[in-house]
Amino acid sequence: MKRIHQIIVIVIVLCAIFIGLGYKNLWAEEQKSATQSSTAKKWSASTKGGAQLWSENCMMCHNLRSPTTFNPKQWEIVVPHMRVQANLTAEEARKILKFLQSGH
Amino acid sequence: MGRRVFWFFVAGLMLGIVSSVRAEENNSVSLEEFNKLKADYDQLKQEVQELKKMISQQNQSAPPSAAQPVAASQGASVEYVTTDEFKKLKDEVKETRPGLSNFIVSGYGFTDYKESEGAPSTFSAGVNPVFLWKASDKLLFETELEFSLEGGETSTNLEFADAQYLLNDYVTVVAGKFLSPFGIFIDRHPKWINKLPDKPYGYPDGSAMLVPESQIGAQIRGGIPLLRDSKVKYAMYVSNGPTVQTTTTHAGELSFSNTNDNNHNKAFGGRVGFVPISPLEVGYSWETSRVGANNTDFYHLDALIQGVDFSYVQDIDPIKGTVNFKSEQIWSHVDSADYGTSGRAFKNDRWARYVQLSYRPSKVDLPFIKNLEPVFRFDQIHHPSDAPTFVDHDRYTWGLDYWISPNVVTKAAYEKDLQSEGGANNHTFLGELAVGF
Repeated sequence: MKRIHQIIVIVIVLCAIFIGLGYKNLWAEEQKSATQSSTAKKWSASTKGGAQLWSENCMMCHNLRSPTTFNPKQWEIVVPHMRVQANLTAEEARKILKFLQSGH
Repeated sequence: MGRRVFWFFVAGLMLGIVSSVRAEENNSVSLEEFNKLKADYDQLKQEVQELKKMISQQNQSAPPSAAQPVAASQGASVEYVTTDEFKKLKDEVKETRPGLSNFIVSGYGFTDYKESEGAPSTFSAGVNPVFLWKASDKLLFETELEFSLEGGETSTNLEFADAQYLLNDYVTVVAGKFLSPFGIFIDRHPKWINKLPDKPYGYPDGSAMLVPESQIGAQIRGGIPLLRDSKVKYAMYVSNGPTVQTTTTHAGELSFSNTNDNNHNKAFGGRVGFVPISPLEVGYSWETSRVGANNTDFYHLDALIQGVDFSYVQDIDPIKGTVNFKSEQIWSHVDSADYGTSGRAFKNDRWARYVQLSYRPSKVDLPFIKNLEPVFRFDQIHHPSDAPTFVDHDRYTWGLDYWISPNVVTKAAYEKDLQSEGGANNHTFLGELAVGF
């Protein structure tokens, strides 16, 4: 029974990798073929700006810390770590970083 | 004496006259020399005119290179900067120094106070520095150390130490010792984030753990956007996994300090979270593992830990503040075994759960009131009736936080812990000052 559990988990892990890689390719193709269309926005989940993404994602765990807490260079280190911790997509992280750096 | 002075004077006068005559001779120019110099001058002037003409033609046919500084083409122009601009430039230059550009120390420190019935009241303190290093745009390292005072000594612990590789926009590979992506509390356990001074039952807090705080192994994790701003978060890992304890007092409990695996099987686990709208998240976590040690009677024992979680954090204008609601339930199952404690094998199922609600009137104009945050938590833990030494708990906690700044908080809490048969009810007062940095 437990062996079945392990097999299921392995299958899920592999699926996740392929989904991740697949999304990357899909996103690249979408960007190429229809950069002006709203289809691209559909996949990016990013009708939201950096300020909104910062507010929504960071507040889920802790109080919002001011953009001046760290300098722009330090945010370049902190945000990628928070991207991993909070399971942000690269695009979300990019937008949040841009917003935090613009506060200086 | 007078004659000597006279002749010396005459000699000086003669020398002066001769010198002035030679100087006049040097300044005078003959007509022949003048004509020659004039011819040279006219020739040079003509050459300069030709050179100017050539440069002008070249500039018209090819624009200056982009790399050429503007100041150079403007000749002797001088640019001025203000003091503020100079300071900013100076800071930017400082930031590019080696050792400062890709490394940062963060973390938190705290002081606790605990006063519990039947035990001496006590202060305790600790600091957890977190070291973040960005080796490249794709490769990151993070480490957290824990220093705390326990039993008259300073204890140290490696909370996590892992490398993270950003494989693509949606997948990150992590390897090392990392925080368990199980449920939602472990990520939020730092003292300046946790709304109460202690942890809910089931999570690592000295005793009665049902889930591991950290894992040694590898994981993949990330977020995948779905339609209409909804999103899936995922994390899946393989690790050493837990060990079942077989000693008399803790028989049947899982130990998660498995720095070296006790068998060839690895634990598999993870969490899948769904965010239908931004302030709401629901998740399911699991971990399956073989927990018995090699070459023992308990080798065949497997364990399955599962959890569900719910989180909602939202600014609500009509009530002028932020509501933070969290809830989790954990189930732990270990295959039945006879540990020799009750004379027979017992069904080794345990569970723990909590609900927590806090409200901060952050949009009220009163400065003191807007920084207050009342918190309420109800948590429970249940153990098998045949398990040794353990009793069930139902605990009510009322807390009040005051946020000095977004990352500095003072907390006061009162706990009423109702224990099942064999344990006395307990009343506890907790205080804490926590600083995130």
